[in-house]
Amino acid sequence: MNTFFFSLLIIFSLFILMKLGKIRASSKQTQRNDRINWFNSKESKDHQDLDGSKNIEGKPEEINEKSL
Amino acid sequence: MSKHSALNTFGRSGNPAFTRNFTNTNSAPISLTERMTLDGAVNKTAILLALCFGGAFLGWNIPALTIPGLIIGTILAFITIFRNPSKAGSTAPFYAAFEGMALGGITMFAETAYPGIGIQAIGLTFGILASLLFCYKSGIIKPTENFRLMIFSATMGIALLYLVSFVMSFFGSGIGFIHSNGLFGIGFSLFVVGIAALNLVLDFDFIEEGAAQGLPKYMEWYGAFSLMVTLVWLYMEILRLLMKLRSR
Repeated sequence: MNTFFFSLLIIFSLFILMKLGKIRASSKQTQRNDRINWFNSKESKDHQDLDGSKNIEGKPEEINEKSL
Repeated sequence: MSKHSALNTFGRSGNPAFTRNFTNTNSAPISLTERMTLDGAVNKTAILLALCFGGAFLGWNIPALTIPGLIIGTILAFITIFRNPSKAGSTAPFYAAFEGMALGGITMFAETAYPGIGIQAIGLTFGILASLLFCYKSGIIKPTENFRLMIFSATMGIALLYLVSFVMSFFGSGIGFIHSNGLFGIGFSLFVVGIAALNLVLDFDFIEEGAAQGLPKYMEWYGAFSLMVTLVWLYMEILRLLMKLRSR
């Protein structure tokens, strides 16, 4: 019984891997701003900019009429 | 240390196979047929799994192949990780076969002591793989940079602990709770199984993103290899956990 149950589980899981693995992930997964930037792509950096999470290092300067 | 400087210093993934920079330095455009696809990555994972099962059959029947399989498999894993990813197609199949030999032998020894444990460990490994794949594809689990940093830190911590324990074993000592079947030992094994399982989510995300970005075709082998490395680790940890539970 034990062997039968686990054998079924293995076959079912491999079936899921072969079928579900070839389908693209849902838009909930792929269209996020906080996705992992695996390949340092520009697109993801742009997302970060839009998100406002980009860190700007250095001393901030005051913007006045002269600087403009 | 800010989040991003930590990522740049320690790498960007829990899986050592993903700590490299895959930025395409070749300016020539890649044609559609030479791009990484989800189909290709899944098919190559199936090939590696078949080779691993073939190797396991050999290792089960000829237990003397366990140690050579483990050593050669580990060497091949490091070669695949540190060599150019474009060569993964030539080393990953051999890695899967040799690692399969080691797993077959180890499972045979475990099965002798605790009958029925092998099929339970394989079933749980693939069960976790399928359920996490579903959670990832449906967007229930959403890996972020912080998630990756957390998994990477935990994986490196576990690796360091195992390394220290391994070195200490040469001097007749060791970190006892790692191998004990007490409550703390089982809790530690559960934690390690959890971290190994969450590494699968990073593997799925790497493959999904690689296919979406249209990486070169050889990255299918690299993605499949990374998934295999995590699956082998997960299987070993589940086997250890079951052995601890059965020995109580």
